[in-house]
Amino acid sequence: MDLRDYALGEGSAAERRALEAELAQDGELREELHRWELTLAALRSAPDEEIPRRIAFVSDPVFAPNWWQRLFSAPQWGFASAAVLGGAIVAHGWLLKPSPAVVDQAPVANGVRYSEADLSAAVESAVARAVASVEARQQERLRQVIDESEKRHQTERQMMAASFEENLLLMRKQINRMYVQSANLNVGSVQQ
Amino acid sequence: MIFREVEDQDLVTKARKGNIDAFNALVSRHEKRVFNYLLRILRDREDSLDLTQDVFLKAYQNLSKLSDAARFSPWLFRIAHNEAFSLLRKNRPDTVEMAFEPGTADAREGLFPVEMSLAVETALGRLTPEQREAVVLKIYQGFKFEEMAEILEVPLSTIKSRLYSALDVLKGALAPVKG
Repeated sequence: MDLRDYALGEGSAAERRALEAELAQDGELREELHRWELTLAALRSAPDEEIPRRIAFVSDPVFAPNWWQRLFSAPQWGFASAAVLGGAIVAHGWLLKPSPAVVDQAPVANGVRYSEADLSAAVESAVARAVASVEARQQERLRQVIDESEKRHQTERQMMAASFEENLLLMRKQINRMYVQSANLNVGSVQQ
Repeated sequence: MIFREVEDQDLVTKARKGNIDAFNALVSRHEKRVFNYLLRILRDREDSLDLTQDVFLKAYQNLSKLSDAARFSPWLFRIAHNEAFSLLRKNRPDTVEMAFEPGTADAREGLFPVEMSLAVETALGRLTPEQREAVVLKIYQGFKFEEMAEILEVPLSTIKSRLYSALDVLKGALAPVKG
């Protein structure tokens, strides 16, 4: 093992023990080791210097990004890119909006080709028929409602008439009874 | 030392995620070491201070390139080494080594601390930058030989060769044979 390594604290424990055994027997070797230890002690006696001034930290201006770094990292670019993205989405939706279908060929049904006018007339006719059917159904329903109402009204009138006649008969009977009683009173007073 | 490395790894991981405070902690922890490493190699206080600043700036900018967060310290000193030797190459024509007259061992032993520091500084000045760097990394920064090889990107044998030749020179200056 090298004396310098020993003085520097290097080497394994076994290597150091072996050298120490040699040192115990060799005075010249011990003197040489002493000179190495003096040298290292002299070197280590020179202390570290305190740093004259604080090193600028990353939060200090020296670490601040350049103007172009600030430009490209500014938050407004985030908003701008969001606006562009939003515009792109709107434009995409607008451009892909389905346009009115252009019929360059009339549809074919049962092997017969119809023109647009034919189709329009057919549609109008069908609509007219449907409207007429609905109106007829409504008229029939209205007529039935009126008939039912008239029947109900007639029945009510008949019932009212019957009730009136019954009440009138009852009144005549009461009047007749009063005439009879009155006559009986007159006969009694004459007899007395 | 192991705990310290784990802490460094944690701070590097956080700094990579944009945590500036974590990188600030790394700066606080290593700035004195880096500054003294550069000062002992460059032997110029202002240059060392400027380069220390540059080292941490480059470390921050290239933190994502550090493959192993646990190896932050050797990686940082690798950056410092590149910066230092780039400046030395640029200034090499003007580099003048200080003259040094070796004294005796007795004289060394009788020196006051300030005089000893000057003697050490002068002795270090007699070394080549590569030798001086090997001494600084081993004696002052306490790196293992394997870490030094990683920092300097040279074989282990080269590291030992540089260090031993430097120590031979220093021994002659700081602990000469009595006579």
